Amino acid sequence: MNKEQEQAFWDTIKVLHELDVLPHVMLIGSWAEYLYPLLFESGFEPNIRTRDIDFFYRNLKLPNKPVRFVEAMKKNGFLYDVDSISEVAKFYKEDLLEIEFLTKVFGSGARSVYLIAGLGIKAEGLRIINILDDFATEVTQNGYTVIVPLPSAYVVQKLLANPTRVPASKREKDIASVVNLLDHIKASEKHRQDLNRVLSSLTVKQRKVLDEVTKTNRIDFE
Amino acid sequence: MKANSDSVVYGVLQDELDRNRRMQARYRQEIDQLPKGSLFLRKIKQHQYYYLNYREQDKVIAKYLGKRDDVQIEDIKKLIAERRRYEDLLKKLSREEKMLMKALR
Repeated sequence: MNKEQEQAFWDTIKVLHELDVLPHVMLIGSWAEYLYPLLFESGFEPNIRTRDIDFFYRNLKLPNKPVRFVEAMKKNGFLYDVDSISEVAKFYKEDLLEIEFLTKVFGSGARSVYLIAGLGIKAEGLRIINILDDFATEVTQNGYTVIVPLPSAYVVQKLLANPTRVPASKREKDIASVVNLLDHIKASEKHRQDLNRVLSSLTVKQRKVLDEVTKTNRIDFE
Repeated sequence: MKANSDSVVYGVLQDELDRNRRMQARYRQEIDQLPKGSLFLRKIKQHQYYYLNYREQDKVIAKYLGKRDDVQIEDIKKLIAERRRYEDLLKKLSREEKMLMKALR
């Protein structure tokens, strides 16, 4: 199923590219790891990849003109779904992928669902992904330039999210991803510098959470 | 560094089971909205009429669609094919659900 799944992933990227939406999204979650081998020279191999693809929608005001996103996805074989309670949009590609859009939480953030007006769909707001927005990089593959978080930011975000990650069963999986990625980050001068940059951006409160999680899981940044 | 591989696998499988069930629910909804059965062309005297034949419990229903030239037959064929594709996907997902449940037991 991997080849079919990968093709379905690139079909999704193609739709986003054709509608000029790709520059506004960041690929996060386990599928970002799928593109990370291109950022390392140390033979990084991604960890377990699930069927959910998460896109972080970075600026809800863009594109400033409506695009026929749902229609384009349907035309490319995706089934559109809207959660009956939260109204958050999901797209299914056969039995291969589930695609969802997330966004950062603004201000004090009582609201957790945001409208992406240009796309005509709703995205879930997650405060914990705010940090990824500040540490973006690009990966070019198959003719598409995809925005992903810097691996260092990806690792730090996973660690910060760990104590509150639901369902709790995902916590161990995230730690396994961090451990796998961190070995390659530590082996590269460039990625070590990125990691220091990410760490120095943390608030005192975030630093405390990070220290607790790294201690509990015996993770060493040095 | 700590990462229990058993619970990592358990977490992934549980996540996939939840996703599998969400997908099945959505495909069922879609199937319910699409026509079922097969098309049948009946000749009565000089005219031809399309019917949609399908089974409902133990009855075979022949639903009248219209005169041959009036019916958008290609559109209906597409919808029937789409329903079959979703039914096949549902079967795959149902098989996968059983496997996941077995692995999680």
